[in-house]
Amino acid sequence: MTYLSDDQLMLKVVSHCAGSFTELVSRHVDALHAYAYRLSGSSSTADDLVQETWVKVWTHAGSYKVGKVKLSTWLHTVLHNKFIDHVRKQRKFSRSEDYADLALQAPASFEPEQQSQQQDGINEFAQLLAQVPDNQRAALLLVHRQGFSISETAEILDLSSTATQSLLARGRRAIRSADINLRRETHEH
Amino acid sequence: MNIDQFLTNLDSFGADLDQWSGPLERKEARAFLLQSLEARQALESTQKLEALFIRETQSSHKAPKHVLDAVNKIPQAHANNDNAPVHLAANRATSWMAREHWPTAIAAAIPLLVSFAAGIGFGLQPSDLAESAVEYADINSWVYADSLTQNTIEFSAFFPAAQEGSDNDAT
Repeated sequence: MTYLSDDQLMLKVVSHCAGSFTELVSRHVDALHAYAYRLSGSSSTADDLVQETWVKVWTHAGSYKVGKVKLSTWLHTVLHNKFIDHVRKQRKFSRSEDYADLALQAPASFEPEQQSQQQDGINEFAQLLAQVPDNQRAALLLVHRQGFSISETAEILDLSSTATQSLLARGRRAIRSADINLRRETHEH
Repeated sequence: MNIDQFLTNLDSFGADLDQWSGPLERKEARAFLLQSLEARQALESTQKLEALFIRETQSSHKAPKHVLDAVNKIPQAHANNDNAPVHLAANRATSWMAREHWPTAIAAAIPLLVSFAAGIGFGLQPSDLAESAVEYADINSWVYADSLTQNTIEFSAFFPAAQEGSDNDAT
C-alpha cells in the first residue's frame, strides 16, 4: 500500500474520504490528546477538546491550506482555539474543575519500580504546570513537550516570534518559582 | 552580573550555561554562581524542570479508547445527518435556547423598544427623515466632487505624467 503524506490525506478528507480521516486520526490523536490533557489538566476536558478538534477537521478540512503550515501545527492551532473557547465558557458560567483530576497515570510500558519513579515525576510535573497561567503553560508544552519550534508555536498561539519567546521565558520563570515555593512548603511541613 | 541579569538569561537560554549568548556572559555567570545562593537554587530548579520535561516527552501518552472510537465515528455521524456538524451544532442550539442568552437578549431589546416608542410619541414622521436624507446626500456629493478635483490638480502639478496617464485611461 502506498504511503500518503498528511497533506495528501487532507486533500482526500476535503472530499469526505473516511479512510483518509481515520488514517490521520491514528497518526495525530495521541499527540493532540497529550497536549489537551497537560494543557487543561482534566481528562474529560481533553476528551472533549480532541473530539471537537476532529469534528472541525472533518467539517472544515478545506480551511487547511496545504503547504502553509504543517498539518500537526494546524491541528494544534484548532485544539488550542477550542481550549480558549472552553476557558472563556468556564470563566463565564462556573468555576473551572480542571486540574482537579491530577492523578495522572504513568504509561503501562514501564517496569513497576521505574513506573513509581515515573509516576512521581509526572505528578510533580502536572502540579507545577497547574501553577502557571494558561498561555505560558501552552507555550511551555508546545516547545518542550510537543517539540514545536518557536515559529510554529507562534503560529499556534497567534503571536509574533518575539512575543512567543518572551512568553516562554515568563513561563520558565513562573514554573521555576512554583517549584521553589513547592520545595519550601515541603521543607516547612 | 546581578541576580536579575542571571535569572533573565536563565529563563531565556536554559540551565546549560554553554548555551548562553556570549563567552563573557558565561564566565560572569559561573563566577556569580559561586557567590549567590539564590542563583544556585534557581539553576538547580531549572535543571530539574528541564529533566522533568525530557521525561514527560519520553513518556508515550495514548488517547483513551473511547475517544478514539468516538472520533472515528465522526464521518459516519455526519453522513447520517446531511454532513452537518452534529456534535457541536447540537450543543450550541440547546445551550442558546435553554440557557443564559435569553436575559441578555431581552435586556438589549428593551432600550430599542423604548426609543422606538419615544420616536412615535414625539411625532417623528417618515417624511421628515426622507427630507433630511436628501439634504445630507447633496452635501456629501458636493464635498466629494470638490475634494476630488482639488486632489487631482495637486497631484498632476507634481507629476505631469499622471495627467497624461489619466488622459490615456479616458480614451
